[in-house]
Amino acid sequence: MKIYLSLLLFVLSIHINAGDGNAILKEVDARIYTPNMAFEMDISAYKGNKLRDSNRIAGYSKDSDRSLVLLYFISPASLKGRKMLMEGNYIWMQMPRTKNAIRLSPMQILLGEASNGDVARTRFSADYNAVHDGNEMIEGKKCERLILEVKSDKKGSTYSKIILRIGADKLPVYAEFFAESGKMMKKVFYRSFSPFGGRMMQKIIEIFDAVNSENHTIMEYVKIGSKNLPLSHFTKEYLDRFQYTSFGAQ
Amino acid sequence: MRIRIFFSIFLFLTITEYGQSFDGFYNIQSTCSTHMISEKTDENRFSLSHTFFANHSESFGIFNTSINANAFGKIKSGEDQEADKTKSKFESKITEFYISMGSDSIFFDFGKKNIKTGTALFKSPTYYFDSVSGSTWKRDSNSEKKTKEGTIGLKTEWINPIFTVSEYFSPRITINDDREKNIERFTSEQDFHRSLSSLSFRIKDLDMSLFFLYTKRNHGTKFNSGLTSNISIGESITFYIDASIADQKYNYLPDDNLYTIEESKINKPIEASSGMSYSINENNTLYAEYYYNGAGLNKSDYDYALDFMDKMNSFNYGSAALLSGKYGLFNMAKHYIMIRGSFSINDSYNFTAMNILNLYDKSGLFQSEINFDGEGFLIIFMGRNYYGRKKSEISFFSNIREASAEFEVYF
Repeated sequence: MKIYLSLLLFVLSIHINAGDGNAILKEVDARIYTPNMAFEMDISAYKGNKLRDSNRIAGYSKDSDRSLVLLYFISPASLKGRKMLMEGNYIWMQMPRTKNAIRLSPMQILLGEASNGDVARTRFSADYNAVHDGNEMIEGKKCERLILEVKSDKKGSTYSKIILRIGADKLPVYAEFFAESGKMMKKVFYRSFSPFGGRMMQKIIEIFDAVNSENHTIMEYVKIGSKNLPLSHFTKEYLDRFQYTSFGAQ
Repeated sequence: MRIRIFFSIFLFLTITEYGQSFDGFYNIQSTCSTHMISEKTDENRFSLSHTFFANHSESFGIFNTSINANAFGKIKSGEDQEADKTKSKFESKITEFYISMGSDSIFFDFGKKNIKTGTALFKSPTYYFDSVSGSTWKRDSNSEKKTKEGTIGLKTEWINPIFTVSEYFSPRITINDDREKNIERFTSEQDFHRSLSSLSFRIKDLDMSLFFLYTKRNHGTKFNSGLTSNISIGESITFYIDASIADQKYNYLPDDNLYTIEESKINKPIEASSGMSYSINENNTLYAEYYYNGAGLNKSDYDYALDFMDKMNSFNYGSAALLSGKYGLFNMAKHYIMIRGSFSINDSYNFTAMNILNLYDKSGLFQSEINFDGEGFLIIFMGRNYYGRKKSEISFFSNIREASAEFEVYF
């Protein structure tokens, strides 16, 4: 009888933790997820202290469960005009003055350690189920620890598991991303939050390669605005027509 | 001539009035190449060229409609030195000039524009509007800028999240007096009417596009239908296929139907390219491609045709080379493969190697390139070499052995 009771309590505790975890994750998304955003961002990739690569990109994200982002390369001059459409793990790129978008594998996006999910600022709760897993100190800050497992219908996602730490203000502080093999792929710090459109926006995302910690990438938003483009603009056929117009900073 | 003057004025106005908002690049190239005139003779050619490419887009509104005007052009000057002769050349060209307008999902383009379908790197059977010159197989964005010229026409496109329908119509236009008459070319010169319709959609991970091209020439008609598709698998692999079937009819006496061959009754040649790319990591990628040319000759006819071309070459200076210049690759054989790799040596240096092999006679071209990517400039060293038997379709190309150094600066 005692065994059954313990088992029942154990199952119930998992269910409650999962329920808590998913509720907390939705709260996190509600605080940070900004639908239909226009932005300009600096992506700088470092090896140790040495700058390997630096790009300024502009883009639009679309409120959709497909993580839709249109990107335009502003600098360096040799990449200026390069355009990219990201839809989850599907990526198309169009070089300046060519007319056809080519399909890229996720490995070819060349944004340092940053993946399309980092740029798209996807909702964690759209792709992952969360379980609350206690507390932890990160950089002197007390954080709640959530273990995120990819949902069964999102198995193609780049990362199958994320361990996310969130502060008392329900903003992400630090996360570790794992591949399907269980190997840790990258560590991400979320820094410098400021209010935007009723949400909180992390202005700086610092990404470390988990295998080679010398390699890290800093994504910094330099401009943020609201823009609701039609869904038809987030198609590979539209890439040829996509023209970026700079906007006022917020 | 009038067009050249117009372009020079346009470029001058662009630079002076819109100096802040136009972009482009400047390229200086020095090339040494060898081409075969006949089986026994090789000729060397040295060339030096400066090219200034400029691109400008401008948006304006008329009757509450936003219109976007786009222009791309080049001015090129240079010298060719060949067999103790030095030839100066000057070229100025508007390669594209078109306006675009539309709503959220219906769009129109009118003017001179590059139209492209297909994915294959070496030879796509869908490159009807924008054939790639045989002299440029770098297959980067700049090589296309340097060689391609748009087609004048009207494009109508309906883009929605599920599918895209487009129609491009280009009428026959013969305004250029210095163009040779009665030669039908596969490049963008508009000696014929063309209509390209396509339907693009996605099924799960697979991008698909069906297309139908109708061409009416002086000497007949041609109808191509086909598909292009690609799919990415996992983090590293992308597969693609471009295929087309042709149905053509030739009238051998123009403007008269006395003698007509309906080729459709003889055969309907299929062309197909299939390939894959494999990303070793974010900087290193391998490509492998196979091209089947259904219109190619069988092996005995191929050898006979080469003999004939070689004799033609010995009578008429460079006639085969002239042909290769007009049509790009000859593609007289049925089977080809291409392998290409691009590798990052470090943050600044990249190396690209490409091999094209004619499977009939095992002849081919190997091309390698190393480039240094600086802050806003690029230095490129390229080498190309022909291998295999002395007499092959590839040996008739005008640049079978070539070395070049290029400097490009972006603005």
